[in-house]
Amino acid sequence: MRSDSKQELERVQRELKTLKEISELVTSFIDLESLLQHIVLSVSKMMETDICSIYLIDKMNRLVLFATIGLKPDAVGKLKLNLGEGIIGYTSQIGEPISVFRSDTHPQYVYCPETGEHGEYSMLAVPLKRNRKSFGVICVQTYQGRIYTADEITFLSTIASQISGAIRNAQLYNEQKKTLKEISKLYETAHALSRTLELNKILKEIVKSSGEILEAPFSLLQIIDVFSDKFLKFQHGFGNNQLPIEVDDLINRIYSQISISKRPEWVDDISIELSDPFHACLLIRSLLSVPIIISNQVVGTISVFNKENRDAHYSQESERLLTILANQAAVSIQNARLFDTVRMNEKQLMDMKDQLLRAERLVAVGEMSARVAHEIRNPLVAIGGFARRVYEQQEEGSEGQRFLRIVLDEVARLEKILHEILDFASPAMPNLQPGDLHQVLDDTLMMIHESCMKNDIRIIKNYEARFSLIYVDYSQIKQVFLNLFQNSMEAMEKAGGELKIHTYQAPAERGKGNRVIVTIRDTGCGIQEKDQAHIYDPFFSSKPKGSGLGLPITHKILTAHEASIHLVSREKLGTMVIIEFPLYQDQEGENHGSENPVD
Amino acid sequence: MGPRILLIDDEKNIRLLYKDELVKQGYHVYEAGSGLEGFDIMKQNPIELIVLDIRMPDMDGLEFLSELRKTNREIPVILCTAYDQHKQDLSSWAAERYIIKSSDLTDLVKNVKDLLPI
Ligand SMILES: Nc1ncnc2c1ncn2[C@@H]1O[C@H](COP(=O)(O)OP(=O)(O)O)[C@@H](O)[C@H]1O
Ligand SMILES: [Mg+2]
Repeated sequence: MRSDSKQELERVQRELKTLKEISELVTSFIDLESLLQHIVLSVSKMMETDICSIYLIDKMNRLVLFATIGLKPDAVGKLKLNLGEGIIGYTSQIGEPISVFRSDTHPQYVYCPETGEHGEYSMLAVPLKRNRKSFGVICVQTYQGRIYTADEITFLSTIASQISGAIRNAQLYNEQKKTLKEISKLYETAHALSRTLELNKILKEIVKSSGEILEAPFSLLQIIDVFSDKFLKFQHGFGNNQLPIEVDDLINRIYSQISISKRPEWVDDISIELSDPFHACLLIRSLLSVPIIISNQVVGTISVFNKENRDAHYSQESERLLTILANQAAVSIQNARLFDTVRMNEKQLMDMKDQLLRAERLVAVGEMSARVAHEIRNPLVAIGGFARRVYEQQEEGSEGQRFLRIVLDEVARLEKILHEILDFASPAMPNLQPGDLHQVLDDTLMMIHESCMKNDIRIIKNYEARFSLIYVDYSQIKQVFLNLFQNSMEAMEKAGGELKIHTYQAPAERGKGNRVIVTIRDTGCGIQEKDQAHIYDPFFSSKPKGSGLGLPITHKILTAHEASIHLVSREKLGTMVIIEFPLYQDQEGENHGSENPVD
Repeated sequence: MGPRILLIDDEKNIRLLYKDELVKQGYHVYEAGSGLEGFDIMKQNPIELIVLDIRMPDMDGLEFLSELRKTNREIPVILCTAYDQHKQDLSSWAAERYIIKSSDLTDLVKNVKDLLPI
């Protein structure tokens, strides 16, 4: 009895020591992994077992090996048992301790090769419980058969209840850590927002954060582009891969739902196999999509694709976080639009200043050149006229005739320049009538058709504009297109190329009426960077025989038509001219565009 | 003698050029270096067509034209100019034709023949 009491005392002392140790651990360790690792160590030492392991139930309701001493360390996180599976699973399911002399004889036994165990081990497994609900299992095992005493069972149960609290704390801590991570992510996002006002970048950042914060493998942000009425999509986790059609369908379906409900929406129980960027297949189980709302209008959604099913806690949190991000997206979209408007106004102002300067310069140059032109005109007419007389008197094919031909050609060139100068200096006011842009284009193209053929230049027409009726002074606009076509042809003189003419409706813009755009694109030599600022200067020409008046005249005529012109050019690649005409409208503001059948 | 044309231009060489061409075509050509000179010639000769330059010192072509139309509405006038801006000038409407001066006289000859066939 005495020795029994002594033994008993020693055991109690040991137990108390272990419990003290563990409670110390519980308060000193807030990091779950290392806490559990220490617990299994202490328990196996105290109970003189070969193995001690802790399993915790994850979100998917599986028991995952969390910490172990004695089993293969790399089984941690990998060994997963379903509820009820194996003795561990069974323990968790019934919520009572189970002690087994030899585990492989137990009816619930399952062999798990990951652990490296053999099966004939003894086992005492005790459920970890909180609010009567089991959330894990702690178990000890010995290589030899062993009968666990009632005291030992009570001891492990005491430890189990001790560590429940600790695990709860650690989990709370982890969640806090996660929240901290989220908050800092949100902060980073907000920071990114202020750092750059470029919407695309911000939206990419937001969609990335959404995925990271919600630990979703894929996330997607889509917004309606006000100009094109098409979706702009930003994705994260898909790499640059195209979204699978079924995902696209799903997103569109939920988008229409959300645009009505204006609330977060879930899709459960989807099981779509998605190839992730690393070409491993991932199973998507649920989808959460929240609206991006601007002035009470749904303008887009952020969606996250979860690997997990939705559960009450998770879903509430997710909705909250994703909504914060959606609000951020909304704010940035608004800011960007505001910024765009400001930038646009600024640009318009600059353009206006430019045009004013140009106009002033033109007036001065115009007056000057008109005077000079007049002075030169008469002598030139006389020179040319008499040369022609003499030319006609020369013998056919004589040297005199050849030389006079040169004189006549040069005079013709000078006269053409004079005509351009005078035209430029005081062009007739346009006589604006409704006319079809496509008709003017076709008529002008007719004029250059032959010389294009000769110079190996292919004309490609793409008249997409359905409304093409504009106010035109037919002959002046013909002059405009002729100037531009000529420039393109001259740019492609050496090697031939393509002359593309494309018309289309301009996207709607506030404060502007309906407009039609024509672009003229060539694959010619392009304009050197240093020349680009001067192309509208009268007399600026990079060509040995150029008058340098084509573009200034063109500009002047277009301005009188309230049309705008822009040139985009890359050296050696080609040039594109973009002209925007206001459409002809009647008093009611109705379009009277000659509507072309779309084919 | 062919149909009578009066050429009014302050540039002697232009007159020479036009006259040479028109005479070759079978017309009888009178020359005037100014508007006033032109009125003088008209008083003495039955002119059937006037070829009139716009830019001239003293009295320019348009002034001549409006003065002329006060007394004579019948005689056809061809206005010659360096550019077509004057089309917008109402007084130029009083002329029958309007041509751009050029070393190539085809246009001139064509218009003269139109208004005054031989
Ligand atoms: N399509 C074009 N491709 C390359 N250069 C061009 C083109 N259009 C205009 N340019 C450049 O702009 C200059 C000015 O053009 P323009 O005013 O038409 O005068 P010009 O054709 O008589 O030189 C050209 O000399 C050329 O350098
Ligand atoms: Mg040109």
